Amino acid sequence: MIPQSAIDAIPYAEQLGIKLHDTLDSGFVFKLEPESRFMGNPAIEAFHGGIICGLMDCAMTVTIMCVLEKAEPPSIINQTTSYLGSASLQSPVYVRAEITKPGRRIVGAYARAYQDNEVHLVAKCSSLFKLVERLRQ
Amino acid sequence: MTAMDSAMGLATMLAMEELSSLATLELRYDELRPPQDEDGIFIKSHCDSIDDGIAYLTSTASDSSGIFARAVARFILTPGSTSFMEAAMAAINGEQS
Repeated sequence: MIPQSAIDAIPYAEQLGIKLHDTLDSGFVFKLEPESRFMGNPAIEAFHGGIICGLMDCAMTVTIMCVLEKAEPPSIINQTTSYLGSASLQSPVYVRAEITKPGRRIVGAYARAYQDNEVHLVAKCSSLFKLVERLRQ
Repeated sequence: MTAMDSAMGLATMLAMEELSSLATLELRYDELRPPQDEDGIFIKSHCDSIDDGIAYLTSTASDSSGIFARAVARFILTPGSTSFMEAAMAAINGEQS
């Protein structure tokens, strides 16, 4: 499955406006352009933390669908997000998502969010997903 | 997840004694089952403690069948003049005038 088809299969990802930015050997990089509706703190004009964790969730879901060639989005079991800095609304947020454990039923994934400099992370998270099992005919 | 982060932020604002800027430090989210599409969801958030500038929160999300997700978060509070609350109030007042 190509990443854009996977994004279109997830209404929340489509609604946010996530775009594929780069393809890596180990995963994908996604991009989210700043919009005023994403504002969390008007005092510093920063992205809302909930948008960042939702973006990372979608990025990992799309990565799993594309790398493991699944038509159905996996369902999330848990996600632990660490916020490392504020994400300015002056520039886009990039999320690099990779699979850490490609299991048969449970898949582990990792995502890192950054802006202008890939070294200065805005947030990072690790998650577990359950693959949706198709009923046998 | 986005809604729970917002709800816990609002719970922190209601619990804090002085106006402060706040930011999420960590959010742990467990999804027990997928929510049902046709119903709206309810989010209950509780600020368990604010200690040494860190707020500790728990939250649950439920639909008509009961709880489908839970979350635990920590927020950091930064008291200061450029607080979130003041900017938010200024934005609201600006819209009203």
